[in-house]
Amino acid sequence: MERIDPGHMDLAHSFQVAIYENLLEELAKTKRFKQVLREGDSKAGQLPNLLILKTKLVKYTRGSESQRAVTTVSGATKLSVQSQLITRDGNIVLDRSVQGNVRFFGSNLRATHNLARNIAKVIKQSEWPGPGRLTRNSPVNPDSGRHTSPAF
Amino acid sequence: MDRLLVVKNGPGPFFVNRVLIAVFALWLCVSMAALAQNSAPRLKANAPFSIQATHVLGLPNTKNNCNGTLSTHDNLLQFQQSGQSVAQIDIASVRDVFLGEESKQVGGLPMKIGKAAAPYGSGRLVSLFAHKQYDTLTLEYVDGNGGFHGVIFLVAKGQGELVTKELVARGASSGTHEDQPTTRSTSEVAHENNKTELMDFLCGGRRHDCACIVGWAGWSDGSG
Repeated sequence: MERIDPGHMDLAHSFQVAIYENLLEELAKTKRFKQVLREGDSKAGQLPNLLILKTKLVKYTRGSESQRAVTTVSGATKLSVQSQLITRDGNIVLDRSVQGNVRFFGSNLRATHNLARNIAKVIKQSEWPGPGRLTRNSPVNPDSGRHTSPAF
Repeated sequence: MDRLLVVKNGPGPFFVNRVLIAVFALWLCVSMAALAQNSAPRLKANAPFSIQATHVLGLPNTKNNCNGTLSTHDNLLQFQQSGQSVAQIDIASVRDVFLGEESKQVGGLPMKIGKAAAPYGSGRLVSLFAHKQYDTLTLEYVDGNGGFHGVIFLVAKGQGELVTKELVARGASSGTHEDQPTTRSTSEVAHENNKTELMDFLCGGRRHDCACIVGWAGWSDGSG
């Protein structure tokens, strides 16, 4: 699994790390993959049927926990990413847009947990061609069963 | 015939020498002081370092959002919950350190219940004062297989920089960064541009940054 690509967005590194770590945890829970490897892991080169999960930040709205607590209706933290599951050869097997927000209760980093959970949910519900053994590196869209054209 | 003899104490040939000696002595003292300051961090790096922190996520076999003690021991960064085993990271494996800010509601569940129970929505007013600022410390490190890891800690305001300096002094990769969003909202940028343009016009087209006509305090930001 590759690290989050913030693109041209000014996303705090704490958010990038939080999305990455939460996604690793959520993907492991789906039990759709025999092994989930981190970016840079030397074991990835030895694995057949490797899938690379790439997550790119598309939209980010920085919210405020204080504002959410006082106003309730404003101050939401919103994250939107484009996720691709790519084979070692570069073939895209899954491409989705996923969102993760925190609107009422919870810290700003809660949005990263929600985003990771949504990505994992989409991956779990999606079908893609190829052998069953995959290594997760790219996130998946929550729009179940719909492939979108590559965005990157 | 009385003549007044005035001895003029002007700068003589020895005056310049005395000035040079004084300058040299001052330079020597400053150099020694600078050298002492440079050597001070080395002494501090060997001293144990320990603060209270909240582990947000990232450490292996450690519960998320738990309080504990963050400390350094030799070349290891350790985090220990009370009564739990120590989670540790080799400081030399840390590739980057980022500092940020986060505000968090204090009081936990009792505060939330109290706010919800407060009549006439007064709980929202409590929220204005029930948040505390913290420093977020984000570390990026690699494990033995080269895998990328990230870990986030919350520490008291002002202590993030101390931890960062401690880590760098003990061998973490350099390049600590402020993890603050640098982009302002579109409305803020537009308002600032409007103020600048008006000031330039009033000053005859000359670009300036001073409040020569109206103090900045006299400007309304349009919000109230």
